[in-house]
Amino acid sequence: MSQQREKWGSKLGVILAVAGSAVGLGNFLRFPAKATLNGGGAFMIPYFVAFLLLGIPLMWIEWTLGRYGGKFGHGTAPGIFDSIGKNRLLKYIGALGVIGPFIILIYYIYIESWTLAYSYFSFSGLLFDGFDAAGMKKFLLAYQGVEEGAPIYPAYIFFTLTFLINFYFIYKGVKGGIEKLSRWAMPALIIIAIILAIRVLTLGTPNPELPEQSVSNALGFVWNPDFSKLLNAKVWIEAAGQIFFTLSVGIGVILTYASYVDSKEDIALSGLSSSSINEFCEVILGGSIIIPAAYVFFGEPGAIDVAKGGVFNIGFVSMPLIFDKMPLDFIFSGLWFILLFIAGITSSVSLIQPLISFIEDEFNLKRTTSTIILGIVAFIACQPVIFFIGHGFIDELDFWGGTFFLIIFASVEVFIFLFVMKFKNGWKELHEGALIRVPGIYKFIMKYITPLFLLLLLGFYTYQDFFSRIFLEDVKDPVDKTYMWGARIMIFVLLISLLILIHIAWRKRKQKESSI
Amino acid sequence: MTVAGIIFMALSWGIIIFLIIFTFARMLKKENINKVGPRDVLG
Repeated sequence: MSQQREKWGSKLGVILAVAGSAVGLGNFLRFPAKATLNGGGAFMIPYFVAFLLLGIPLMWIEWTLGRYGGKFGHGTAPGIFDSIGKNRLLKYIGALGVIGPFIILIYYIYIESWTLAYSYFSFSGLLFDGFDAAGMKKFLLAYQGVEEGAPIYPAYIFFTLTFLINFYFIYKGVKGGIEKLSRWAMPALIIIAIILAIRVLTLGTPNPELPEQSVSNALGFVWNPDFSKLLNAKVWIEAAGQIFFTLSVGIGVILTYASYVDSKEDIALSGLSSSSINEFCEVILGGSIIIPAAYVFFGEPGAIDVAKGGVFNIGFVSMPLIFDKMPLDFIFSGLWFILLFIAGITSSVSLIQPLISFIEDEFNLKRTTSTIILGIVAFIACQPVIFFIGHGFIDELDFWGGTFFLIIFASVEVFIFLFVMKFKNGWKELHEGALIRVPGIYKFIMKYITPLFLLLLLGFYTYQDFFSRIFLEDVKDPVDKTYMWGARIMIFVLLISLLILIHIAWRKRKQKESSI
Repeated sequence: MTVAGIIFMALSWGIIIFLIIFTFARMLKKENINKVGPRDVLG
């Protein structure tokens, strides 16, 4: 057990920190594209259904398990699960809640550094050198060092800077670092997003020769419901997946953040508040920037291309081209990338914290030592991501760490909440210090509907992606396959190392207890 | 933008804004349900 654990300084601080963790690049890049391609306004029906039946229950379960573990001095899944149940295997299963955030971290922090670099390129005017779409793509590839002869050092400098900023906030602690960051970063993010949304929504009809490319039609393109899409099961799964990823459930981050909440403090209302802030940023702000702007300047076919272009393409290729068509392009483009950077950093610090908590809580090390150890390991682990990016290394890490482990770990959490902690105890724990009474219908939802929803999601992803992915059927280049297997070996080595660390930590604790 | 589009946008935005106002208003009340009275939290 560790020394005196930190606590959050205020309720608003923890709400903003959890919201900051949830609000990430996906809110502004992934959601608008998904909504547009899956029925527009009609997509919001399965989206809100998934929010109520999957997102909110999972969020409450994580907050409950996390705060409960915090009472016993544990901030990560191995310790939390072990304090809930007697089975010795539980702590090893909990490894998923530590390895997941680490795998996401090592590529997320690199992508986050691009946003910092691009905000610099925007404000300095480097990004607006008369590029077309092909030129902008080439610029991105050159920056990543993928283009023949392009130097990697600018990307490396921005990565190092981003890495140091992240670890500075981690070093300052939960209250003095993460909470302080969230308290200014979240309002700043919302203000910048509102400025950009107002700019887009007041564009009117920029080209009088193309009157159909108006803001009104652009909003119609996003929001006009296409009910026929609701007959497609895939749309419902897409909505569930979006809710799952946007709320940051199943990663292990909320567990850690909740473990620093005082045992008598509310979690039911705090969880709902942070989810609401995330939804505000996603639906209201995220839905009002990219796609409407793309429609106004490129028309419907162009907007569809943007939506289908994938997250990187939207963020780093399409958006600069869109801003290029506005007066004061460098300011709005700069603000856009600062917005993404803030969204990124509040998420990345939340991905680092579980590992810091694991080292501090289970090995009783001080924060400085934990930060240095983790900083060195994470910096080394990031290197293949930077240098092998052209070979699908990030895609592979994202599939395992950012998708597969998340759904598996969320299923494990639900199982532990229902059958190890027992639902009755979990429900009681959720209401300890609560400022709201969770509606009774959620007893039924949490017991039956949420697990069923998760199983469907797991089944769908397994059917759609798992088998083709595991044999790398879609990868044609044998060299890329080698690198992707390299990514898997890296994940495997990290997981085994973590399991060994868990074993050592518990053996040491046992020895200590028996000597007393 | 069709009327249905306006309705869906207004409804979606409305639900989210209501949630934010509701949760923060409850927080300002600072009324811990376990301290309110003898009501059983297990319902």
